Amino acid sequence: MKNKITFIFSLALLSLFSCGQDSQKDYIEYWCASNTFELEFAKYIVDLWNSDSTHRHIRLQPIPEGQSSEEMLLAAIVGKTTPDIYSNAWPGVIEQYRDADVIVNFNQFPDFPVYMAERIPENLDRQFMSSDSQYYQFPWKGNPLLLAYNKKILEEKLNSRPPETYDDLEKIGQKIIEYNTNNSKPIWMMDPNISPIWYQRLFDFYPFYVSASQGKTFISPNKKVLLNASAAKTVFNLFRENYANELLPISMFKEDIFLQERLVFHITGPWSIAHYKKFAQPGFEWSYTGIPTVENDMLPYTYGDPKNIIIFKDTDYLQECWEFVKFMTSKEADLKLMEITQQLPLRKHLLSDPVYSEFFIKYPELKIFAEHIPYVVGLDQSLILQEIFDMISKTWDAVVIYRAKDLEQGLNDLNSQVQNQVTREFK
Amino acid sequence: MITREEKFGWVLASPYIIYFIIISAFPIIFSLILMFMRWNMLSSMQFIGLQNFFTLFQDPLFWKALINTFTFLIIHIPLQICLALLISALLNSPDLIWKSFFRSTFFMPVVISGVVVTLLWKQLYSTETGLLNNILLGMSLEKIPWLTSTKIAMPAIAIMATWKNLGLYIVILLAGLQNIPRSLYEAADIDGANKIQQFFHITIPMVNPTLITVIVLSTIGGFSLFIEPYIMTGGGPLNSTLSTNLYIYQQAFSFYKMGYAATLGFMMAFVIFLVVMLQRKYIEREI
Repeated sequence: MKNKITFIFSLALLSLFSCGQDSQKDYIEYWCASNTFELEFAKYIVDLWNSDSTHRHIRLQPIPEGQSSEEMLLAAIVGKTTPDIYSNAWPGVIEQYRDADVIVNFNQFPDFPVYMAERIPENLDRQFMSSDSQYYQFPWKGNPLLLAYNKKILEEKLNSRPPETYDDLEKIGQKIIEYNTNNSKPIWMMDPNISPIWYQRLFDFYPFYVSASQGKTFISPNKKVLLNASAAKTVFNLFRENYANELLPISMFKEDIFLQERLVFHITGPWSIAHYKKFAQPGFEWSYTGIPTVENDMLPYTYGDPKNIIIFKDTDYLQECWEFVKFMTSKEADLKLMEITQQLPLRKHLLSDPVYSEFFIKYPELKIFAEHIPYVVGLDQSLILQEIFDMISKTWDAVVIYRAKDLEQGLNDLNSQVQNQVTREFK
Repeated sequence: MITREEKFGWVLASPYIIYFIIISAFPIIFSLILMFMRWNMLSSMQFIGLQNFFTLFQDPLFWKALINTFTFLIIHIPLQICLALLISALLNSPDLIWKSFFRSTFFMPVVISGVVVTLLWKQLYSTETGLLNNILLGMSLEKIPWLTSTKIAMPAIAIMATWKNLGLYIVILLAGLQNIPRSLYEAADIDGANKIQQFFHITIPMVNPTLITVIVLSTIGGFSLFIEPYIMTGGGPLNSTLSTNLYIYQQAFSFYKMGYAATLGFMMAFVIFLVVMLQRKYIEREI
């Protein structure tokens, strides 16, 4: 009896502990984003790679479902279950991974500088460089945020053209106010999400900020925070005025009010093309225009919502991983990426390259997004970027949406708060 | 000397002991250690002594979240207890027809996923397109900024949470009410007591132990307020619906401040313990 119990107990313990053991695997594990289109692209590219018997086999898995991919990656890092390659990394967290020493430095590959220079537009490459001047992410794709607009409302009801400057936007605002006084069902200029969650500010404040600052992020190279400088003030003031004039709704929506024809503009990326095509009512017409600039003759900068490729340090097949990264970012792979996902690779001469000319004839809506690729702006490289955006979001809530705080005072407080954190980080 | 039976007993108890060590004891001890550390899960832990406690006492957002949570409790608990008591008394009435139907109807929100319920209420509460404001407009009344006013958002959340949990407390109180002997009411009838007098002099004293259980349970449940503000408001407007649990979650999983989040968690455990003890001390005597 005693022996039997001891045996069963030992077996149970053994099986429990053996679960965590993993002998060296003979394949590369690759995690991609879990949405349908990106999964389809990843399957295509992995099948193509695996069809060559000289290549090391790649096993594909969509990133496990969770609140966000960043949370799932964090869980994988803590649990030491990271893949070899991940292809949808948000640059805002790369500094944390670098600091934790879990991702590979791409500069160690001798052909990396040449490959990078061939692919990435000149002004973009430095955006993805870490604070130690090395690259820990391979820039892959970007989704420039633009204004989608309802053609019927803008051109027929408001008799206006897509805005190029803040003055144009102000004139459209006046026409919306006039329209709303004569109509029982109001329309709004835009519908920024009023939730005070940090990442929402990437989709209202930040595209307008990088446009107003003409491509500069809010931490200068000498680590001075610029959130009380003129660019931030201009953007905060624009949205504050528009909320005060009831041109922006202080309301939460579960439905798509752009498709319900309650909005003139909606800040969005190229992913919206497929969504509008699928759900728009017959007769609904829309197009896209850039984020308005403060003055005429300014360049059309916007936030690029980039997603990049990282290789984890635990990999046993470093060189093969790098070969796969090059394989999945080749010219042909980028064409397939656009065809399947309708997302844009961060690539030079996208519109003039003959490889893609047929694609842009077939998908003219994507052309305007592609035109903005040279003007996409990324994020500051900071370990506390989410916290900084949380501070911006709280100030946005108080100064812009609910006007509970003076603009000047709010931005000065925000700036000193963020400056303290940044100074502490880079001390 | 351990006997054979005792050894066998240990073997039989071992699955639960292992489960307890992994699921309860280890996380509690680990959190206790974390309170004195700075750790973002990616880098190694760094001992910082009592720094997390100093930060906590100087953190205005934590105190704001604590006040918000108490505001929620002050609205939610009396509303829930009164409604649950009233409805369970009605459901216990011998004259009521379709009892099973009403009981099932009141219990239904309890079994629906909290996330689903919260999303539905978010839609109902929408200032511009929500059903509630459409009804108000239909009656020529003003729209109410249910989730976008600092004064209304937390009461709106409390109403929703009350609706969601009411069924559970009705069932518990109903069980308590059904244990009251009918002879007490019959005797009171003979003595000439009316229904209200019977409710206050028979029902309430007799259901007292169940009522205390319900108050303690709903207090602890109220302190765990998270899904509603997380989904409906994100803690806004102007932090007026930021609950302590939401704040702890943000510190841990948005900013990866695990040490600070553990400190906040233990502070909240202490506050809940204190509140429940005070409740038991005063309410148990008074009801």
